[in-house]
Amino acid sequence: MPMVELKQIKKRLGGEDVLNGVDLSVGEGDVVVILGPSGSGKTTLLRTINFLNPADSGTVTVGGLTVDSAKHHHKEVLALRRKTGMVFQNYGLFKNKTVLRNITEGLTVVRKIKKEEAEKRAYELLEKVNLADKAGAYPAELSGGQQQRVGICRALALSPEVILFDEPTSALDPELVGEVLKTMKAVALTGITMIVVTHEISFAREVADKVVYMEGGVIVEEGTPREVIDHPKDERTLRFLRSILEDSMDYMI
Amino acid sequence: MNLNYAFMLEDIPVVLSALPRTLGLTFCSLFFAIVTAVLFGICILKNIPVLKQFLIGLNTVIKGIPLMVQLLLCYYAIPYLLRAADGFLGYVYNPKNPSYFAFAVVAFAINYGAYMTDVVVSSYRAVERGQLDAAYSVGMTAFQGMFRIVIPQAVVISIPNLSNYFMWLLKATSLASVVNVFEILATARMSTANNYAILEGYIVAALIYWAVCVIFEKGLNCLNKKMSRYRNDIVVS
Ligand SMILES: Nc1ncnc2c1ncn2[C@@H]1O[C@H](COP(=O)(O)OP(=O)(O)OP(=O)(O)O)[C@@H](O)[C@H]1O
Ligand SMILES: [Mg+2]
Repeated sequence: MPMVELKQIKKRLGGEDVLNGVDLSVGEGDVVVILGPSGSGKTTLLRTINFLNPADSGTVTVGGLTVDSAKHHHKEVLALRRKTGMVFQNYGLFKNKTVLRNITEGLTVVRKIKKEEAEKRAYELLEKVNLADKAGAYPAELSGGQQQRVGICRALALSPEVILFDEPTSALDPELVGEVLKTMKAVALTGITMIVVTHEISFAREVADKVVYMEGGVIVEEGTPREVIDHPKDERTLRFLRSILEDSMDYMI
Repeated sequence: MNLNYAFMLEDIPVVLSALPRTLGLTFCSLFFAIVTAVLFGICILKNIPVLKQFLIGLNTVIKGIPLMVQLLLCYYAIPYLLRAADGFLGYVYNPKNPSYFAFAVVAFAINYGAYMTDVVVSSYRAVERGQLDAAYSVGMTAFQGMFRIVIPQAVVISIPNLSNYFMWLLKATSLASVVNVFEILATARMSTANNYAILEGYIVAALIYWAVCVIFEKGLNCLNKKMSRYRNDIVVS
């Protein structure tokens, strides 16, 4: 049984069809990378999975819990959110809380775990990303790369069944992208299910079990990295890959 | 200039005795102004139809009338309203002993409440929206996200503005001297009724206001620094 299953997800925003019936199935422990041009609905799709912006219709299944987008109860949504974690493009750290509190907040407030236990778990995670010495710092005192690694720890702390990443490196200075990608690779190795929106082709190639190409609110093509990135079947996928490869060439020159 | 320094020294404790009244007036007015601002702010932020437009309109009316005029309106109008309310729900109107203090509080609370409504609304909107999404993503309810993440930050953002209004309010309470509230200024004026040291009396009042303001200013600065420790994106002066 797949860990995450989306069926016929549709959404209109501002009088436009942003998602036109997306079906997606993600196996347990799989890393799925979603590619697509700006405005193709990638962020919108991720946010329909944990109901930050519920779809107009379609069903979302995470870890055996199926919720109908069209008629959902807020208790179902809370339960579904407890099975998912999310890492945001702009980190989304709680500015008024220290690094440690950012990570323990969900454990103590939502899961009602004892403070000492939550802190122990937080320190374990911070050790892994080499940020244990920053536990008492506030987000504004960290670099973007450090903030994003804390964001990843915060999501991991709750041991979700799937973590959603929305362009986790695109707000970062180029020299900080590597450290975050490295952390994400380490997370992938733990066997947790991940859905990642990113333009980092190298990450997709190395880590993804499945690559999905989206455009105009539909999935155009999906398959292994080799199939989609190296041998795209659809004209649109090819055009997109060329454009971002050219960009990164410009970058290197 | 030939000032009567001996009288000024004597006058200080007399005028100081009215300090609790000035502070009482300030803090009572502040309290009700904040309550008003929060209630108005919620209605505006929640986009409650009709009520929102009504409150925004009311706000411009209140801000368009001088505080002095509002004090006089309350001074003359509230007794009328109270008389009209006589017998309503067991209320007994007592015309012999009107609370001028309370009338003044009403005027200050309305006036400053209108200004502080803007502070409430803008401070709330200044909290970065993504944090609420993040709160939901870790499983918090809307209530938890609001009270643990958004409101604490909105409060910190509002402190500098609220501090300014507080300082203005503290000084504006001197206007209540014309509506029968014996705060610092009225007491200073009365203390000079038996001699001609009128200027001396006002100088004493000015010195006391100044000293009190300096103390509060320092205290509020400390509070602001302490509370906004987590923000290094702003320069705390
Ligand atoms: N709140 C909104 N109101 C109206 N239209 C919206 C809203 N949010 C998104 N859209 C539209 O939906 C479409 C998809 O947006 P989305 O943010 O999902 O794209 P994306 O694939 O994540 O793009 P990017 O790569 O730039 O992040 C865009 O055309 C956008 O203009
Ligand atoms: Mg996006």
